[in-house]
Amino acid sequence: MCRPSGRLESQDGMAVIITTQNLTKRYGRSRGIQDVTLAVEEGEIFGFLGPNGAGKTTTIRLLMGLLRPSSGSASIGGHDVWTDSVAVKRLVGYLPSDPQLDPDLTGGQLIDYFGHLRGGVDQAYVKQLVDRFELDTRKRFRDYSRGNKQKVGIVQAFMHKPKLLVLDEATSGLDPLNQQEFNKLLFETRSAGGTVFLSSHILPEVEEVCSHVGIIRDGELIRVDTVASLRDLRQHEVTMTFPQPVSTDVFTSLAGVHSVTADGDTVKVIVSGDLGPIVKAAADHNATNLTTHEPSLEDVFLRYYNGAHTTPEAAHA
Amino acid sequence: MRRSIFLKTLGSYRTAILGWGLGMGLLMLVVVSAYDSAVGSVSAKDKQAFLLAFQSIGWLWDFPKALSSTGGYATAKYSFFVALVAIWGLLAGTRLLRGEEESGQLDMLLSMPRSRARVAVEKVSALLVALLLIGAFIGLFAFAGVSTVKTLRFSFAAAMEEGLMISLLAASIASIGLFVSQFTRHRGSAAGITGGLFALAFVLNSIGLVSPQNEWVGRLSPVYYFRISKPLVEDYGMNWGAAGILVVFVVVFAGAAAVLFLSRDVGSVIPVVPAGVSLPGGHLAAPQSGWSLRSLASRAIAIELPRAFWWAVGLGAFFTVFTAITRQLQLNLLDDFKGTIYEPIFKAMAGGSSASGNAFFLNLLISYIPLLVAAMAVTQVNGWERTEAEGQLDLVLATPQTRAKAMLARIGAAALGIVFVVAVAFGAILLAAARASLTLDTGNLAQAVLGSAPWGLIVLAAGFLLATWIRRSLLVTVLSILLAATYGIQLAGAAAGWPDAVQGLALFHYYGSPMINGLDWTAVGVILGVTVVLTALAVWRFAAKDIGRWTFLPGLRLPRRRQRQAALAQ
Repeated sequence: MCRPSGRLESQDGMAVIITTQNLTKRYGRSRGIQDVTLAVEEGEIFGFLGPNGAGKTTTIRLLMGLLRPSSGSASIGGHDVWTDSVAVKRLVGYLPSDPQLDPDLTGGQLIDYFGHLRGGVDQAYVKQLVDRFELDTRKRFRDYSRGNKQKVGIVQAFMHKPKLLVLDEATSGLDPLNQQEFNKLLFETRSAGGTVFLSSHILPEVEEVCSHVGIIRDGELIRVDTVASLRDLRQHEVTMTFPQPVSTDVFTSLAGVHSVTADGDTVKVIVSGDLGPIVKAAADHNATNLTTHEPSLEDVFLRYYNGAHTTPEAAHA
Repeated sequence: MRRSIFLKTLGSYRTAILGWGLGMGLLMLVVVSAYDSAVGSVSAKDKQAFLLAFQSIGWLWDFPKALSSTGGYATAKYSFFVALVAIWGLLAGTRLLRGEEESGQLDMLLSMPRSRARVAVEKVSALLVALLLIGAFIGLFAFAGVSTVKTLRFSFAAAMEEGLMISLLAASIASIGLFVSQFTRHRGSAAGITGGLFALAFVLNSIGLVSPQNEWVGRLSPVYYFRISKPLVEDYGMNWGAAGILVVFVVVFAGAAAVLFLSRDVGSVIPVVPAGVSLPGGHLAAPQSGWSLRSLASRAIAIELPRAFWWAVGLGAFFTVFTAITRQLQLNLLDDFKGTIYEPIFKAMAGGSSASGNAFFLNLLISYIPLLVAAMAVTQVNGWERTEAEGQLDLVLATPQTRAKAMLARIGAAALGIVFVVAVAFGAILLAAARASLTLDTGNLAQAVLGSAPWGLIVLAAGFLLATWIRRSLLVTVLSILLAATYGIQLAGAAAGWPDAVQGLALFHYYGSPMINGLDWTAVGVILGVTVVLTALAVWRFAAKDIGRWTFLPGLRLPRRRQRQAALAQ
């Protein structure tokens, strides 16, 4: 096992395994990522959230040394990801969002091959992983379904018990049972002292497993925080219909309400947190219909970062 | 251009139509316009030697007379390039449905409210129109070329008919490729098998020519029907019956392919053998044994092995047949030139015991070996680029292996493949010569065949270097154009007496005639030296590039068509 060249620590004294400093990647005219600076501590599951095309995969491919930074730097375990990439890759297990492997080889052969390229792995642990995900290793890669291809990717990423897992949209294609198994595996990894860097655009998935999150949008890291802090981003859109028009003032003063719009006898409220007061107010005014839906993460981002967002306090004011 | 499947498909061929049409057309222009300087102004002695050499090649194409006319000269000189147009047709035909099935594009297309039959017909029609346009370009350039010639011209109609015949040959090979692709899971496998069938078509045509009692064998080959129609040669002219038979080839194979496509699941294949029966050698297509999984190098060898195997089988069979018929060829020529000034020359050569005579004949075909191994190298480079473009390198490079090691493993395996193929070709010629009691200078033969490997290696190294800049959809076209250009310079430069500096750009010029004169070892040394430098540059470039992205020059990217890069940009 390669030793880090220098142990880095975060402000709270925890060892830092991933650091990026003004990491930038430009693709000619098209956008990559811009000045991404973050630190991921050892032993945490770090969620990397962002809508499609935000720059998640670019950041991950930079961390894996597959892309060369236009400027800035990144290191893993104290090793520069570009100049010392072989040492970095000894520490890391990687799962791309859409793993592509030799279509003529079976799942078993692919796992065998990657085991050799990693200098040998614990076969008992490999078997355990294969059994947990009920992967049929006799099929050729080309004959696997999307989910089974993902399982081959998961096994090869975990099989050498890496210190750090870099997972890009890891659960795409997995059924709910396998997603659950995968989440268990993440928790086990963390319990064993491992670190996980998990990119996703699915908010509940990140909420369930991650302790910290970074949010990237349009190539820029706009927020790094704990999951608890992120919860204020979760919003519901409540649409209510009344027998006659109702004043918006009824709702604007309620806790958690961000915005209220009325259109005839229909009122639309954007709210975060507890829905109880809204439901109660709707009942007080004899609402004939009430529907809620959770906006997509992209909607939340758009609302939050395009200025439409106002904090509850501001709304109250 | 995107209003229908037909227009969309035709639009996707626009680069190929312009590239191949203009490229092959310009080659035709160069060949035709070089006629005066090549035939009209050389000394009588040189002219005799020239004609003698060309009579021999021309004989394989069945027109010993009229070679000294512009049309005969152009037909003989251009005959090799006809195969290149057919190879583009072959690649396009195998990609037409199978390629889109592999990439999943066909699923999307078939989800549109259009019948499968209509999709197939529109796509095939677009391919045929593209081939006709390429042929039209060649015809136009042929006429432009002949306008510069002082005497023995051919007409505009003849030029366009020649273009049409080239299109029809390419279309028949494309339709065979489309048919074969219904039986294979991969486009590449279909292209390989169709390539083998195309080589077989040449062999059948030649057997039919050399052996009159087996003339019917030649009639099985589409090449035969292309050969018997010679619009540019006055004594022969356009054979509309032969053109009609080529159209029948197209209709039968494309129609059968469409019927099979309509009857099977999308993404599946028509089974060749009953379930449970495995073909011998099938394991070569997908190495199952553990040896290939131990390292990057062993895996690279396993990947290159099937390609090397099939190229070795193809070239071995090709040279075995031509070595075996050499004696018959000599006798036929002797008969053909009885009573002419060439009779004593052929008499001295015929019989199989004259090593120099045999070398002269075999040299006519063996001189193509460097070009053939270079073509093999292009397919090897394409295979490497595909692994990167499809994202297969991402996980390999996420293991603690250096990029240099990954690329060198593949280059090394590809180089071994080239050496294996020329070694098999050498063995095949030796065996066939022994069976036919053909005396050969083994030393010169070894130099000619084994010594062709460096030409494949330098193209391999240049291809791996280019592959770090140019993405796959353009790479094969660029490499093919470069090879065609260097061959064109050699062909036209020697005939037209171009300056040495220009002729020096022709890579194959340095190969010479090793069957007769031996190899120029200095040239071989220089080529190997340049190969090492190009390999080092390729590895250096690969170590510094973004995986899955291609930037031609810093800040300048070639136009892109594939969505993968967009996906990677996320």
